Amino acid sequence: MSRLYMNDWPPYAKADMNRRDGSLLAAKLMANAAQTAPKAGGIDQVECCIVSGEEEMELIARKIEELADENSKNKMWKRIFRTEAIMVRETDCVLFIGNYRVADSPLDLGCGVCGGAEKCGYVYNRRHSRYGQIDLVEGKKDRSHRMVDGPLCSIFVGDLGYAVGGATYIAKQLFVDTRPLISVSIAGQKLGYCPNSEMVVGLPISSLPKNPYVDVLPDYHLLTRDKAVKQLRKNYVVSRMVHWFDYRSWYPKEKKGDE
Amino acid sequence: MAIMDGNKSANEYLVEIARMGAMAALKAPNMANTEIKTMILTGEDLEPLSEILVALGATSAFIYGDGLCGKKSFEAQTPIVELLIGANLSQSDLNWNCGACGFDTCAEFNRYAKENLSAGGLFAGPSCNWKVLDFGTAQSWAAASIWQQNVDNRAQASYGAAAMLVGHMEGCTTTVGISIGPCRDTVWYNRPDMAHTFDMDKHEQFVLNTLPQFFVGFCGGGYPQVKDKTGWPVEPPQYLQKGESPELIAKSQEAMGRVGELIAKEKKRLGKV
Repeated sequence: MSRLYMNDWPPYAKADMNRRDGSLLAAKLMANAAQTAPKAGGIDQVECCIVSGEEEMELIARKIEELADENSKNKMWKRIFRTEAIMVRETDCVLFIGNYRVADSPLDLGCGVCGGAEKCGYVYNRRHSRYGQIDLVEGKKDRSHRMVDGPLCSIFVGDLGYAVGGATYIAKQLFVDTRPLISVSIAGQKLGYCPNSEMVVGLPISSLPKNPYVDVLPDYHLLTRDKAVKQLRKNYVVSRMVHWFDYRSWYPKEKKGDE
Repeated sequence: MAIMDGNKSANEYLVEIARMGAMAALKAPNMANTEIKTMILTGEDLEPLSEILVALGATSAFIYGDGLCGKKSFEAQTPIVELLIGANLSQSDLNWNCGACGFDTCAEFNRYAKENLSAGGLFAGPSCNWKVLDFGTAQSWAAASIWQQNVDNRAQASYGAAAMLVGHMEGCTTTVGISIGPCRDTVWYNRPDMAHTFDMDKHEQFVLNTLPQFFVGFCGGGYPQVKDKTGWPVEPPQYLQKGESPELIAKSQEAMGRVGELIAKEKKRLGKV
């Protein structure tokens, strides 16, 4: 007979690691759903990477915090990124879904979504290409300031949306919490988890008593559970210490009138 | 107590399934604040779109297939229902300045998109790619929820484009249709309704057109021959070359003429002229 005990506290203890296994299982099924999701022509295009562990979550969170200062034109950007970095620290694992055709292998349908009447020329004319093939390496340095290396084939971007939809739908069926987050997406692409994809969506996944991805506070990065615990541990030990009490020899008398 | 024909009841329920699909599309995760619009077409408001696609399909295999299977469902009195999902993807209110559209900032993209908003082969563009992503996610949730109800369905750009051509889904730059039903094992996969739509000659020509690599002989001489007959090495040599096709252009123009008539007829019926 064996026992598998699961609990969510303290984080990364054996009981919590047992609990996290369920999120990992869900992540694998979500990755499967991302592969089988409807897509234009049934063409292969999706790559997935599941990342877990305290060190990896911290790496992603710190990358997000670094990216928080990358968009000074947008006042909300920094707040969003600082908040979502905290969410990653409370995450069991992250599923990254990338599309490895969006940048250098357009569908060539001429649908118009990316560029209207210019059709696929919208992408081919703005990229380096020859023999009907796109060279992403050429000129990459000039584009390195961009968070996403566009322009992209929008039909395949839509297919990435389908993959994200399949993955999040399965998560819903399995009652695990997930949400596609822009900060996790861009950080994941920059960290290279889906190494062949110029567009990546990051899905943090958790099975915790409270969904980490909703119902947060303003300035959440200063009001995190970890900061609350850290503060409490500091205050508690000091309070405990200075309320001098020799437990062996006396006990505080009850107040008269309360008897 | 009423006795119902179960098969008929099941097919009549497809509208309710479409409603569930619309609910799912609206509930789907949405990263970029994309406004999703949905519409459900049935009966006399859907059958003309199948006719348009059959006509348009004279020079497009996938469009032909989508139209023909829809048309046959009406002939069999188990008509499909169409869930249209659309959005205006041509402006970004995000200020993410991410570069995915090829511009450094959303402001630059918005200016370009406003001046250059135009139709491509199926839809209008340019588009903000994070909004395109949301649009795909919404369609995925709709298709998944319909699949969970055990109904064959398929997301089709063809029906979405045809719907916009006759004036539905105003304000949307892109619309995709999810064809729902009829209640049968396979409808949109394998497509049994397309039995005997081609013979072996047409099949071989199709493979030569779309997968020429199969037919290409030894290329070391720089001028590989086409292996279109078993006796090809001693037959007069055939080579692949690129060139215009007046025949295909004429066929396409004839098809567009017929399509134009059908669109005008449907617009008149809908009071959209």
